[in-house]
Amino acid sequence: MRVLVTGAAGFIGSHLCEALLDHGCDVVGMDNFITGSRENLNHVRDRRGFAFVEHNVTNHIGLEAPLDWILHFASPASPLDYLELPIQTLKVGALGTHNALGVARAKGARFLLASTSEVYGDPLVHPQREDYWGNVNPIGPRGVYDEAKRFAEAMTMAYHRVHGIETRIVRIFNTYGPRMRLNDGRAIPAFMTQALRSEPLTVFGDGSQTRSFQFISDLVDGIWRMMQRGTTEPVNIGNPQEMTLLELAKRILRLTNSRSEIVFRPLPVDDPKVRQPDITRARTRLGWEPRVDTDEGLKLTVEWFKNKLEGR
Amino acid sequence: MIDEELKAILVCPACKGDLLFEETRIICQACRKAYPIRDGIPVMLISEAQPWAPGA
Repeated sequence: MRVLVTGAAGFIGSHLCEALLDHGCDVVGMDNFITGSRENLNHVRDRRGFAFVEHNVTNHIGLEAPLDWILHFASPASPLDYLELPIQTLKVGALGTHNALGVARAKGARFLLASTSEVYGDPLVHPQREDYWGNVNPIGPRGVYDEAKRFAEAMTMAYHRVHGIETRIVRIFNTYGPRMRLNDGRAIPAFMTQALRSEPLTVFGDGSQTRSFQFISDLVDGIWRMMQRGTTEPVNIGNPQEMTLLELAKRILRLTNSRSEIVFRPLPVDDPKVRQPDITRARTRLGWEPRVDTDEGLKLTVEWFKNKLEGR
Repeated sequence: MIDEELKAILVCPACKGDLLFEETRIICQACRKAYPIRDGIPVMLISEAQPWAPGA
């Protein structure tokens, strides 16, 4: 079986390529390295069955081979990145998804869209079930990512309805683990880098906003199950264990034995106040639920950040 | 080195034409572009392609 992974050099894409190879798939990875890194490919580059092409999926995807699955993960995904690359973010969500779906149609491949909990915006329903339509500000600075993914979901469903291709939509909630970028602007890499460098931890707002963090291996397992026996309807993949950002900062201080202090900064525009997945659908349809305990996952991630900061 | 399997599946992202593989570049004779190969990775970005002419 041959799988195309767009965004293969990204945090999630690179773990996914590794898991697919472990499952015995041949993998063609694609990335244009706008936010992905060459280093993320080190562990798969020389593995049998892996091929990589530097390509921008916003342009026509030239592949002359049979493909069984297309996993579309290409997109800037951290707020810092998409605030800096708003047009590229919209283009990859729209044109990139269109191209990837075109390939799926041409090859008769099963298609998976990496969507996001951001489609729920600043949610008025809590926890978020897949049938909640969301509360997104289309013209706010964050809207570029949220709306790109909402459009991508609409496009995916249209291809399913019009062309009958087999499609999957996973709504990925906050995910963390090794190979995140130190400076990607998300809370976990930021807190860990600050704690390990003995710098103050910057918490936005009063730190009472909540997030739910899942470890990368749980997400990869969910995606695999989704491809095996999933459903056309969107499925939330995330860890329902919710915590405030202040609590997260304190946990990271404890796990790193850091004496850094916590400082508070103004909240960014349209920052969601709460976020927690309802994973009933993933439980019942995929038999999936997160298995990695938060402290365990954070410890593995701290180790990786430590090595990274020490230049190992 | 680009492996044979990858050679077999790549086409030109601009015109979908067949490609000619050289040591350091990949040529599309149809639309006269040369795509670079960097660190063994085919860079199939239209913006990175150099103009190519037969005999060059």
